[in-house]
Amino acid sequence: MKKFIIHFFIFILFPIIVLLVAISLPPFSGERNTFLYSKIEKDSLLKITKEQRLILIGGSNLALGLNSQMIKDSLNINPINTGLDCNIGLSYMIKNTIPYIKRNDVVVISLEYEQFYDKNMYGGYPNPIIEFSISKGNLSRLDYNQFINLMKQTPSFCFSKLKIWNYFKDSYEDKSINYKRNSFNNYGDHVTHWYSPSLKPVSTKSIGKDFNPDIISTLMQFNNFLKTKNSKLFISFPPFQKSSFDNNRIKLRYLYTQIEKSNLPIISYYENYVMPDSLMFDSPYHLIKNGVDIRTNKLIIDLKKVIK
Amino acid sequence: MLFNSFSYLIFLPIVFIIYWAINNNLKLQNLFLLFASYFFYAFWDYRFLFLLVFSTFLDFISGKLIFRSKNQIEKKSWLLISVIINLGFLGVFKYFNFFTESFSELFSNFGIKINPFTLKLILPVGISFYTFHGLSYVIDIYKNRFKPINDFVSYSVFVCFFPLLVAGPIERATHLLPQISTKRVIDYNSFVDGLRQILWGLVKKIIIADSCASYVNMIFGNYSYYNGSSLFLGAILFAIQIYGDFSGYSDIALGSAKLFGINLLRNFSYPYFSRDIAEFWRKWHMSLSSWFRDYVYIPLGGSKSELIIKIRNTFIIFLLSGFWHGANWTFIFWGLINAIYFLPLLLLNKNRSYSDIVATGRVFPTFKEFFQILSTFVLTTFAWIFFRSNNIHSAFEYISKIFSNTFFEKPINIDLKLSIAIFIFLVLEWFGREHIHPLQIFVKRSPKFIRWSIYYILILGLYLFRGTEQTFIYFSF
Repeated sequence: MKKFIIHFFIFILFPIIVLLVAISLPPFSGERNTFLYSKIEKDSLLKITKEQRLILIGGSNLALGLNSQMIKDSLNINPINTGLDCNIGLSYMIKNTIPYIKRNDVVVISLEYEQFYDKNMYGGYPNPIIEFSISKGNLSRLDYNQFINLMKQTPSFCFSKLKIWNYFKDSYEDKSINYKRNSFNNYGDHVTHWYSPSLKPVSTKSIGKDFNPDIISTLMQFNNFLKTKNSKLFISFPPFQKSSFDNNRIKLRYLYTQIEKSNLPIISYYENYVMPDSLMFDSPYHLIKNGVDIRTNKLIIDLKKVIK
Repeated sequence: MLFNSFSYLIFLPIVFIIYWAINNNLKLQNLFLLFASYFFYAFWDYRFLFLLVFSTFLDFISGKLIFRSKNQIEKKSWLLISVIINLGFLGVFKYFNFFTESFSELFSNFGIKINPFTLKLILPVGISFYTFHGLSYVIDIYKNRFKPINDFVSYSVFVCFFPLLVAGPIERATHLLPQISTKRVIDYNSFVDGLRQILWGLVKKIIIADSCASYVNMIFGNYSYYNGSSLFLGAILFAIQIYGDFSGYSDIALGSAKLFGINLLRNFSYPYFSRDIAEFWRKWHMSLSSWFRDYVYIPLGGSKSELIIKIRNTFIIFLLSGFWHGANWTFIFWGLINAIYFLPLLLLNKNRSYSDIVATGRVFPTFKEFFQILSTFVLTTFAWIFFRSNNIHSAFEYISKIFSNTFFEKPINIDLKLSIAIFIFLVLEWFGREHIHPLQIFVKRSPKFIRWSIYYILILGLYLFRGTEQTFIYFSF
C-alpha cells in the first residue's frame, strides 16, 4: 500500500506543480485591460455609490443592454450595473454582491435564460480568471457546485497562462474598441458598441437541457437575505432575440411558470422583452443603441410600478 | 454519481483510503463499502434507495427460504414468489406504460378505443441490473449451485457494490460473494492495473463516445435532412459511441473494483473484432449474454436439443435481451434482427467456429478475417439503427434513406480531430486484443518514463479532446 500511495502521489505531483505554477503566473501584458477586469470598477461602484441605489445583477444582457443614465433621470435613483458575463454564474454574482448590500437598496436580477438550465448558474470559463487573477483569495465562499465548475475550468485557464509568448507581445488584445475594461461608462454600462451596426448574431437553438430548480431556491434565499437588510429584490428579464425566442418558447414558458410559482417578486413579463433581430448587436442578448433605449424604457415602466 | 464526474473523482479516493484503513476488520470493511455504495446511489436519487434495500432484503430472505424448504413444491413456490416480486417491480417501473399503450394501440386497430392508463414514473437507475443480480442468487440457490449466506451486509454488498450497481457487469453470487466474504489482499499490481483500466475507460467514454454522440444526436435527431451516406456514417458513429460508452463504463467499473481488491466479471472483449455474429455476442455485454444463457437458454434445452428447439430458444433469448434493454419496440426489433443473423450459423452448426482471439500472434489479420470482421461490423451497425431510433417507423425510414441514391453523395464532414482519435483508438484496441485492456500492452514492454508519459498524454487528451458531457447510455436501462 505504501509503495502504491508513494507512486500515486509522485504521479500526480507533476501535473499539480504545473497547474500551481500556471495559476501563480502574473497576468499577460495588456490582460488587465480586458473585459472581465472591469469587475474591479464594478465592485468599486458597489462600495462607493450613495443611497438610494438600484443594483442590477445579471450577465452581459445588462452590460450590453442598458442605459443607466435614463434610469437615473426617470427614477431618481443611483443605478449600478454589475452585469458582465453570464458565464460567471448567478451563484457567484449573488455572493459577490452580498457584502456590498446596504439598507434600502433595490436589487433587480435579470438573468440570461441559460442560467436557469443545467449547471450554468454555478459558473464557467471566467471564474478561474476572477478567482485566481482578479479577486484572489475568495475560494472559501464557493459552494460545492461552484467549486466543481471552477475545477473543471481551471486546466483551460492554466493552459492559457502557459502560453509564455503572450508575455512578449505588445498587446494581448485585439484592436476592437469593444469588450475592454474601459468600454464602460460610470454606471457600468458597456457603451462603446452602442452605435455599431447589428452583427446579425446567430439565434440560440436551445437555452439548455434540464431546468435547474436550485436557481429558484437560490433566488428565494437571496430575497430573504435582502429582507433582513430592509432591501428589495425584483425579477426582470433580459432582452432576447426574436428568432431565439421562437426556438425556445416552451422552455421559456416553463421557466417563467417556475418563477411565478415560487412567489418571487416578478416585475416584468418575459415576452415584453423579446426584441427584433435587427436590434441585436453580436449575441441574442446584446443590443445596439436603439435596442438599449427600448429595453431600458421597458424596465423603467416595470420599475415605476414598484418603486415609489 | 457518474463515473465521469468530478464527484466520483473525489468520492473514489476517499472511499479507497478509508476502506483499506479498516482492512483488519472484514465486517466493518463490508459495512463501510455498503454505506459508500448507498451514498453513491443516493447521489443520483435517494428516494429509490428504499426500493434497492427492499429488493436486496427480499432476495436475501427468499434465498434462505428456498434453501430451508423441505420439498420441491415449497422450494419452487418460494422461488416463484421471489421471481414474481422482482419482475413485478421491473414490470411496474419499466414496462407498465409500454404494455398499456401497446394494448391500446392493438385494440384501436380493431376499432376499439381504449384510453391507456399510464403511470408517471421515473425509472430507478440500475433496476434492471440489481434485479438480475438478485435473481441469479435465488436461482443458483434453487439449483443447489450455492448455499445462502447468513451475513446480510455481505449479501447487500454483492447486490449494491457501487462500481457495478447502476450498469453492471451483472455478477453471479458464485463469483462475487466468495470475494466479499473473504479478507481482501493489498495488491500493488492490481491497484495500478485498476487505475490503468479506469483511465482507458475514461478515454473511451470522454474522448470517443461523447465526441461521437454530438454527431449521432444531430444525425438521428434530424435524419430526414441528411443524405444516405451521412446516415450510414451516423450509424457507424453510433456503433462506436455505444461501444465506447458501455465498454468504457465497464472498464471504469472493473478498474474501480480492482482498487478494492475485487475482480468483477469481464463485460467486453473487443467485440468489433469478431468474425461472425456468434463470436460478437460472446464478446459484447458478456455478463448479460451469459446470464441469459445460464438462466434461460440452458433451462429451455440449450444447444443440446433439436435444431428447431435451438432456433426457438435463440429467438427467445434475443427477444428477451432486446426487451431487457427497454420498453420500446425498437429494442425488441433489434433483438429479433440479431436472432435472424444467428439463423444461418445455427442451421450450418457453425455458431462455435471462433472461440479464439482473431489473428493471435500476428500483427495483421488475413484477408478473409478482415472481410469477416468488416461484414460482422456492418451487420451489427445495421441492427444498432433500430436500437438508437426513437421508434420503428423512424428506424425503417432511416434505413430506406441509406439505401437510396443519396448514398453515393458526399457525407457530412466529421471533425478531423475525432477521425484521428477514432483511428488511434481502433489501432490501440487492435493491438490490445490479447489483453484485458490496451494499456496493458505497455506494462512489460516499456520503461516507466514511457508508460507515465503515455498516461499523462491520455489524461491531457481527456481534457483537450473531450466531447460534450453525456450520461452513460446504459443508465437508462
